[in-house]
Amino acid sequence: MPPLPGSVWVRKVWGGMVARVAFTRLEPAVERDLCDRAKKGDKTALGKLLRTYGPVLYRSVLLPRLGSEAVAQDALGETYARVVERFDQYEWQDCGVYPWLRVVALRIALDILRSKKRETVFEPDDLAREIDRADRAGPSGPDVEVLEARDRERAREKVDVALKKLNPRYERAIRLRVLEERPRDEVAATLGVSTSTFDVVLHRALTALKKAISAAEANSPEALRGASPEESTS
Amino acid sequence: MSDKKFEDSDADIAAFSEALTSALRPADLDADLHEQILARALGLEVDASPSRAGEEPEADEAELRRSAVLASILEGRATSSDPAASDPGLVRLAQLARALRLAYAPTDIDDLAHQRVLGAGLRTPSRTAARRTIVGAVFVLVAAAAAIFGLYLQRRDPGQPPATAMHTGPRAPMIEARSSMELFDAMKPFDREKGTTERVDKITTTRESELRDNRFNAWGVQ
Repeated sequence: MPPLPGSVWVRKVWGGMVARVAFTRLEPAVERDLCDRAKKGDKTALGKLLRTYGPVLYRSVLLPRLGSEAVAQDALGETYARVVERFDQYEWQDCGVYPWLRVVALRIALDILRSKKRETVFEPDDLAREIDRADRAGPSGPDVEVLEARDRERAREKVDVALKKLNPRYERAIRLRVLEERPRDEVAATLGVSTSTFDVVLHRALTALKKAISAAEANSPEALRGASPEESTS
Repeated sequence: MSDKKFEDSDADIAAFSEALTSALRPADLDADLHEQILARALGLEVDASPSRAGEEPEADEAELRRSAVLASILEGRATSSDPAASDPGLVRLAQLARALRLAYAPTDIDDLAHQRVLGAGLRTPSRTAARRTIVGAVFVLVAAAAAIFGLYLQRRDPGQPPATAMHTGPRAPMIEARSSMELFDAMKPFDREKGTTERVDKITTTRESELRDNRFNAWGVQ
C-alpha cells in the first residue's frame, strides 16, 4: 500500500495499526473519468462511484452518527438522491470524489439529527462542526482512507467521552454488555452481582447516560442559539 | 458557659463533639458528595447513582421489572405482544444502547439493501435531465400557444385563407371595376318595361364571379 498523506495520524489513533479498509479505492484516473462521465449525466458511471463509496459512507459517516440501521439506510438513499440531482456541480479534486460525497452525507445526517426523535450519541453541533472542517479543508483535504479512519475514531471518542460522564461501575457495565456485547451472565459475574442485579445496574447506567447526553445537548451552542434547519441545506 | 448546656440531649452532645473533632482534625469532603454539590451549583443534572465504589442501592419491584424488560429488549427476546416492551422510556434506552454500539463498532450495509437503496437513488432525475425536460416542455407549450393564436386569428378574420392554401408564384392581374354595359348586347337594347330581374341577376352573377376570382387571386390561389 502506498503511503497515505495522513498515515502517521492514522497509525497514532489506531494504536500502532493502520486501519483496515474493506474496499479498494478506484484508481485516480479511472475515478476522474467516471466523474467526468457522471457530470454529463451518465448514470452508469455515477452508479459505479456510488457502489464503491456508498458502503463507506454508510459504515463510517451515517451509521455511527444516526445510531440505527434503518435510519442510516434511509439517509444513504437521501444522499444518493441528492448526489444524482447535484452531481453537475461537482468539480474534480485530487483527493477524489469521496470528500464531496461525505459532506453531502453529513448534511443529510445533520438534517435528520435536527429533526430526530431517537436517542443518539452525536449532536447536531458535532456534525455542523465536521461540515465546517470539511469545507475549510478544500481540495487539499484528505482522501477516503484517511477520512474513514478519522470518522471511525471520532465516533469511538464520542462514545468514550459520553461514558466518562458516568461512574466507573456504570461505565464498565455498558462497555462490557453493550459495546463488547458480552453475555449478560458473564458480565454479571465480572461485576460480582447476580444477573437480575446486573439488569438493574445496566438500566440505571443507561438512564444516567441518557441524562448526561441530554444535559450536554441542552447546553450545546446550537440548542442555546436555536439554530434553524435551513442553515444546513446547501 | 453554664452547666445547663451539658444537661441537653444526646444529640446536642454529639453535635458538639463533631464540632470539636472537625475543628481539631477536619476530614476531606467525600468525592461523590462534592460532585453532587458541584453539579447543583452548575445547574447540571445531579447524578443520583450509587457511590463510585459502593454497593448498588436496593431496587423496588417496579424497577426490577423494568430492568428485566430492558434486558429482554436488548437481547431481542421481547415480543410486540408484551406491553412493557413498548414502554417509550425503555424503547429509548434500548435505542441509546444500539446507537452506542453502532458508533463504537459500525456494521457494513447488507448487499441487497445497498442494491435497493442505490437503485432508488439512481432513479432520481438529475438537474441536467430536469433542466432538459423543462426546456422541452416550455418549447412544446410555446409551439402549442403559437398554433392556438394562429387559429384564433384565422377565426377572427374568416376572409383570410389557411396558410397552406397560399401560393407564392406570380399572380394573375386583378379584374378591374368597369361598366356593366359590356354584359349586354348593344345591338339589342333591353326592354324598358320588362326583364329587370334578368338584367340584375346577370350583373350580380358576373360581379360575384369576378369578386371571387379577385379574392382567390389576392390569396394566391390558382
